[in-house]
Amino acid sequence: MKYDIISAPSYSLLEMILNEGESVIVEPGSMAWMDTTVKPKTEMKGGLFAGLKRRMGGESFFLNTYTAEGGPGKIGIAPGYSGDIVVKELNDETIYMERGAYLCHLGNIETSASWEGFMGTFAEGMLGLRVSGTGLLFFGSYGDIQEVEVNGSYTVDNGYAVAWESSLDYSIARSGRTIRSFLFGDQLICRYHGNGKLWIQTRSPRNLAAWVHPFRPVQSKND
Amino acid sequence: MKFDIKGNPAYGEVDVDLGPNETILIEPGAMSRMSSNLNSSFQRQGGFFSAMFRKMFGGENFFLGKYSHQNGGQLTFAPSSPGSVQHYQLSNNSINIMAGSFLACTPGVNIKAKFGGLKALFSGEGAFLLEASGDGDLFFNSFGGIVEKEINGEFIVDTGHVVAFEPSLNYKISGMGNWKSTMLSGEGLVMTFSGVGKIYLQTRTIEGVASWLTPRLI
Amino acid sequence: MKIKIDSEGAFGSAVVKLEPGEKFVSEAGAMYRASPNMGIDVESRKKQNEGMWGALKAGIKSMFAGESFFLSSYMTNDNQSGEVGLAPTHQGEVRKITVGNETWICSGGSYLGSSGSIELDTQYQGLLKGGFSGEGLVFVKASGEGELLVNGFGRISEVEVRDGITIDNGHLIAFTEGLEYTIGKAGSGWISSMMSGEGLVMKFRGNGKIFVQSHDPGRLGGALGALLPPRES
Repeated sequence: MKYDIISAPSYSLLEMILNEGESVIVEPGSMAWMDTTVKPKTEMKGGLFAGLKRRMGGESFFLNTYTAEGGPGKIGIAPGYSGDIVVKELNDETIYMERGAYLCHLGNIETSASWEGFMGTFAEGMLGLRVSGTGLLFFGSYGDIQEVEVNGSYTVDNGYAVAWESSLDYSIARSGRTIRSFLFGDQLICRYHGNGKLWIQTRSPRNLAAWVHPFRPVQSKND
Repeated sequence: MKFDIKGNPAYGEVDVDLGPNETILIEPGAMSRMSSNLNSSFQRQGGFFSAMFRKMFGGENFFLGKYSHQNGGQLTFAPSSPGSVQHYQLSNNSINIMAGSFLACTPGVNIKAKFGGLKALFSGEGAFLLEASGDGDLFFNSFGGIVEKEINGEFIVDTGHVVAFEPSLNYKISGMGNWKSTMLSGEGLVMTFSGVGKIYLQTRTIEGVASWLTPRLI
Repeated sequence: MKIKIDSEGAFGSAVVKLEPGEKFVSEAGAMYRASPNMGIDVESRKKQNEGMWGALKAGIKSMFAGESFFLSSYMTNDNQSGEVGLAPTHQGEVRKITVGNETWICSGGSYLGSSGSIELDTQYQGLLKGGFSGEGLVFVKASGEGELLVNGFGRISEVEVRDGITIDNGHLIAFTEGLEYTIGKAGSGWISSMMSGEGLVMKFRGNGKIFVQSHDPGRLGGALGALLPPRES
């Protein structure tokens, strides 16, 4: 398998050339273009229960598998939001990531909904995804991606953390300490503790959703 | 007319220097700044009187903004979506562009609506084509990055990712795979191109942004 | 204080490094990352000597500017240096403007942050201008000495104005005090203006500088909004 991330860093698209017989597992709705030798298959990976667990993580029920048959095949993969794509080689490791950041993978990698360490995140409605195993993983960021090697602790605003290594702990706090802050405009912030890598994105999907609100059509009374 | 495309690949915009009485036609709302002597006026495109044609036109209005002055002038225009702007010189030839990708042209270019095929019409995708032909300058834009590919054989593209393609290419519109795949896989309509020719693709789609935002809306 | 702007890709952001005692202010909620010793406080928008009533007036005015009611302020809390990262809502460039000889006026939503030494004031544009410019009723005026951070949707260009220029609604970021503008029709008649899709424009006169953005968020909002499910209100 060969791959190239084109149009980086802001509208990154992953172009992959699969050898005959090779497969890639992709988040539904992410296929942009492909050779006719690449064949899609929709299935629930790991059976019904695994599908449900994934569903609660915010990822779709199903995952698509694309396999090159009768020859090699090229496939172009991209998420719906603009930003960058990160490639991470997993060696029997675990990463937690924001729902929606998962893009695709090759190899023996399991994705499932994760409740651990995600308490108190009701403001963002954030459920995480636990990704573990051995293989090649691709995930996306909304905006630029910044890597921080946490050594002690670091603060990130809710909604901007994309992924982090399982060696990091995570707690939610309010940004201000005075009554004034509490009443008038705290941010919900996340404090990461420990030693490990943290991936941060520079835009927040929630801010965009709030901004686009007045542009949506209004529900008519007759609906 | 002199032009300069600035800001590619992330935020393409076009600076134009119009000579006396030279005209440029641009997508409605695309003008961002201009010298004080220029006026915005309009020109109706083609004979699209029937309401059905107008509805199918989808991404493009059938009026274009028209800019000209006896002394000339400068203006800058940009598309509604962030991405790249491409200039294409037409010389008694034609190119097919997806309706939402058309940005601007000079008066010698004719713009005609082409059917995308029945599937496109009823899918609600609004995915249908314009044919730009004649002599002059054509500007089209991409959502996100623009990628040029030389097709020789067959190639499948999610309809939302198509920007423009040479008329030597044939295409077929279908759902992806079998019915279950189409409904469940998350992919919409795809175009299967065949033949030899150049195709312009974009790395993002506005439909992709809408699908991603929908579960996150307040 | 050191301000590092990251605008290599399409998503500009700024990381401000502060020494102990130094203060930076931003649009409330603009912080996306910070060192653990960064103290974040909420400030109301008011001039030096005004009391709560001044703050309330300024706050309400700001809401019309497209800015939030409050500002966030940053200072380290352990007598060490620290950093705070600021990011706007939209994709686009972030630019640093040195305020000193010139006072800058920012349109609604373009103000991102400024050093503590800069005085911020909200400037009411008047119902006619503010209502029709599409830029908001109130602009943010930044004066004094220090650094000002602005953000734009798309790429930011600096334009030198000598006689005049016409800027389409939705493209204004900031301009130097001294420039005057009027809201006018884009074309010679109302029908021309509306049919070309441009409608109203801002006509600037005088000498000064304007920062403009390449893209208009309202146009993307319109195209995107049409594809989204309807809202209840």
